[in-house]
Amino acid sequence: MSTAVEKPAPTGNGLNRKKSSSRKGKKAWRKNVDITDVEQNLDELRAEERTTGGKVHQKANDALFMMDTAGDGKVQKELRKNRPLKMDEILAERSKIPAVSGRHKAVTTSAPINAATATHKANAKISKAEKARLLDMIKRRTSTSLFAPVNKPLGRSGTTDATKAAGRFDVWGSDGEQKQEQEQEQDSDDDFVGEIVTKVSVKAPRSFKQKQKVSLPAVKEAHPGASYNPTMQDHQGLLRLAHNEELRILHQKEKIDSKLAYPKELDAMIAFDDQTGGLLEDSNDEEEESEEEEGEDGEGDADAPKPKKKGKKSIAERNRLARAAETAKKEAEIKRHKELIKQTNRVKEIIKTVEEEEAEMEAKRLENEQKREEKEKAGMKRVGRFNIPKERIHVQLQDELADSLRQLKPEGSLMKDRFQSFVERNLIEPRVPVAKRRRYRLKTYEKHSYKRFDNPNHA
Amino acid sequence: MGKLHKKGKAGAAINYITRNQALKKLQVTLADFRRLCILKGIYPREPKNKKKANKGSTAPSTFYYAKDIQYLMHEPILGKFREYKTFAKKMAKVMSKGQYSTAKTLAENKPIYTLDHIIKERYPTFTDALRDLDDALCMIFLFATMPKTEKIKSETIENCQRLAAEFQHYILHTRSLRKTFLSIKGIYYQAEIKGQTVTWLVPYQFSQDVPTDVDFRVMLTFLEFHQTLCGFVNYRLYSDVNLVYPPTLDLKLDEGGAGMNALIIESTQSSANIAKTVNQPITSTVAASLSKEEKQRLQESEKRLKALSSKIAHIQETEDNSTTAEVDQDADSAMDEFPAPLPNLDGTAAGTVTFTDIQKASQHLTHFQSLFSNCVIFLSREVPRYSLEFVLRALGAQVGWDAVLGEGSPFDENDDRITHQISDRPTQGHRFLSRQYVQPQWAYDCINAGKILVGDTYFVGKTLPPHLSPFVEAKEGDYVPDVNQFEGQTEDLAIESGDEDEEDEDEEDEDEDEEDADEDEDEDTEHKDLHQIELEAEAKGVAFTEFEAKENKKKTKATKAAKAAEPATSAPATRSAGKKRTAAEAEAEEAKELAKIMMTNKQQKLYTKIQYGKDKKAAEVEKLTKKKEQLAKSAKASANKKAKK
Repeated sequence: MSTAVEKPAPTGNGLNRKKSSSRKGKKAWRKNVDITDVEQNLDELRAEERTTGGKVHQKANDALFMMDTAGDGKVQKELRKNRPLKMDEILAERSKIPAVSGRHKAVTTSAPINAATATHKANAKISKAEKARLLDMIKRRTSTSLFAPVNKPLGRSGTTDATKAAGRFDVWGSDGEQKQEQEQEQDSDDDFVGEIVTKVSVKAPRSFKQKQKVSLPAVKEAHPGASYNPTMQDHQGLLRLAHNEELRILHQKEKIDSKLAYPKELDAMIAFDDQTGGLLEDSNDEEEESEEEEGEDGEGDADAPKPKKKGKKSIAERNRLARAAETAKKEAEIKRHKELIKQTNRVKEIIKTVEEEEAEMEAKRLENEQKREEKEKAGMKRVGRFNIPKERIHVQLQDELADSLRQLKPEGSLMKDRFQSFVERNLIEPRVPVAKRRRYRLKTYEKHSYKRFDNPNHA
Repeated sequence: MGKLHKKGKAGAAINYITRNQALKKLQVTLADFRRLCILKGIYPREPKNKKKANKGSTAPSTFYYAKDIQYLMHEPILGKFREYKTFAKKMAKVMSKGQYSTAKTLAENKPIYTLDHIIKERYPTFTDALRDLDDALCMIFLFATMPKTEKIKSETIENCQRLAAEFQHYILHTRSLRKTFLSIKGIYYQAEIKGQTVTWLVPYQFSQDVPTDVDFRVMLTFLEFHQTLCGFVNYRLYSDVNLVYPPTLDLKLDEGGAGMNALIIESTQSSANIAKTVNQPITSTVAASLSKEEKQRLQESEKRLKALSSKIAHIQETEDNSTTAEVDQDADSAMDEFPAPLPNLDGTAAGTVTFTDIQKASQHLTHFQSLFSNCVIFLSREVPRYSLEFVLRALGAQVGWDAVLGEGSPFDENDDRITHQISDRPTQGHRFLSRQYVQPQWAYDCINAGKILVGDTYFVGKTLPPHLSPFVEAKEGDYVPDVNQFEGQTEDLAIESGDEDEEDEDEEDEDEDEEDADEDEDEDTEHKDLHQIELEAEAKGVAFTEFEAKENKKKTKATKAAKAAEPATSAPATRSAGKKRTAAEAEAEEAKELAKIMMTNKQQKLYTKIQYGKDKKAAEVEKLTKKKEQLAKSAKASANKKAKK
């Protein structure tokens, strides 16, 4: 048998090794050889002969077996009774290996059969608060509930994990350096090519460290007149400032209004038009007429004297011209020489004027530079699409001023003040609230049962 | 011919990048870009020529430095933003399927970013951070008073309140408050921290309206950064003065509306001892109706309180002792060596700074820091405790308050030790004779003046003197009313702290007024000297009125002598010096004349214009000073009459 070949008689080998007695010579062989298996076999054969009256393997098949053609009817009947449907059989065909539990379905039955009972239970039961907390992390919520948390991506709420983590260690001390080193190490650990490819730390550009040119303080000094109990003089000063500002705004508005208004001159023109009976048409006619006149002039050019035709110059003429050129050249030379002598006489003066001019230019340049610097310090007047709005001067009138701290009514909103400060210092672009626009125009339909007769579209 | 240069390959065209280009480059949404820029401190820039920077287009757009944006690409936070985006997608998917357990495990691995590396990058040193603290403090104090809305979470407000209280405690501990100003907008505070002047604005705690035209997304991003900055700064400040950070919050006191007192400030040195004392047996009288958890919590907080109160008292005592000892020492040394008048805080000499100058300044500072140290002040229920308690305690006062203003007052209204009561009502009903009743403005004016002012002018129901801005610095030749305004109105608390009636006080005040009418600026030091002598006299058992009379005579003599001596020793520019100076003056005038001759016509015109303005100003000042002198004279005369009667 093949199995016997694969396992080469472990027992026999073991016994032989155990005894390890000598089998040298016939006597020793007879004494020490193990014949138990042979004896066992012989015993079995003898037992067979006792029961069957001969050796089984020597008998013929007919003597040993007979054909059962009828079978057991009872068993057959019982089997047929309990046989499952084919359909059920097919459905019941399942692998014994459990499926990968990736998706969980909420199980409604009280006693789930699945192995992943725990996860199902966890899915089924979750508190409202927990659910809200989880939903809070999602960027866009589909819920239309009025009390649903507002959509917010990472860190929209003002307090994030970053703010919570603040103040746990000294950033500027050795702790901070250690922490940063640790983080760098972690980064390199995550990277499986870390050992081969070293990360290059990115240097901040010079422009990043360069301070902004705007130099306005974060907290502007308050005008002394803005005290809750100011002196008369200071208060008047502040009032004047506010008044001037208000006037400026008013003038600006008037200017715009006047530009947008219907011009009165038009009225006068129309009135004049009516009197004369169509001035505009007349003017057109005149133009046409003038054009026509011009055309006529063009035709009349034929009478004008023609320019002389250029012919070959005579020798005498050429000589004359040459002489004239030479004298002109000489005269120019003399003139230049004279001028030079004149200038050499007043070299000092010229040097002085040149120096003066240079100094003036230098002064002007410095002045311009200073002006530009001041302008830059005051900040950009416009960032992006919108102008930076001017800060409103908050002031309380004489009768609004409080007699004591208890009766004080604060003026203005500090939130707006802060925002304005950010915008003024050019930290952010000025922003204008944008109203939601309709994407498409609304169509109105009129039903047979209800018609709006005031609708202009109504026909 | 030189090398051909292609257009748009150098200069402004590549140095600047527009916002939309930046968005495309970074592949982020506009909102995320805005947040990134605010956190990282990258602001819009203005190219000199917009047309050159924008490929010939003049359409309005915001420009950034191209290299800044390039650098932004390496920002770890940008990566976190992207991670969060994918996380949100996964989460949405899982939640919509109702797979809550998966959602929970997902939530545990939510991408988190920190800002500490940005703080370190933007503020390489701690001083840099302090320089930029104004903004952060303004925002934090502002949001601490905001109501909870759908945009501002209660969590945010609480965090801001905590940070603000922590910062205020540091100011109290180091006594670094310098100036205050009550404006119609809010209250300005100015402190000096490690040589840096920090100014911040705190709104009045009325119901704040939340404006609609402010972009809260931007504001909250700023707030996020400022909270982080303030957290780290607080940590550093606390650890520099050996305090435990973060201070523990006493929940019971916090619920009782104790405000900043709900924080328990511990010293790092004594924290070990505290741990021992905590093991005391607990005795609590908590109502039975409270739930178990609440009970436990209250017990804990009470336990802490009991253990700590003694500890804190001990710490404070030792501290006070040390500071007072220092002050005494300083005072002694000063009396020996430098009898000259003290300079103002900001009026330090412009020229060379000598050791004596520094010593003087520091001495003045210590005096200022313990301005209210002899005061025990009670706040009535109608005054703003959130500001007054801070301001008064910042300069050494002991402050108690009405139960309406919150829990945790160290003493009640009936306490005998109270020297001042701050109330803000038209009339005061019941009065204790042993204390002065003043209006809140008194405290702020005292700080700005650098001395304790007479309470009479601030008495309850009286019309208050104007509250002047401490931020106005007088230019050369300006008329400065506030310096002289309070002259002679300072109050001596050492005298007052004895057992005296109100009448006596009144007399004394009048006396003082008289003295001060003929006193000069150097009264400050004289007061100091007086203190010492008075204390000695008191120790001997001399009655105050007798002492006062003696002292008056002495003083007038002394002042005369001082006046005579002064011009000889100092100030080469006063009129009374006489002959010596006329020569110098003449020389100066001559030089001026010569200079004037040398001027061009244009310059001369300008010069005369300037001179005209100066003369006008000087005339006005003279007029005002004359007026003031007259007023003082008449006041003195009336006071004399009163005294005679």
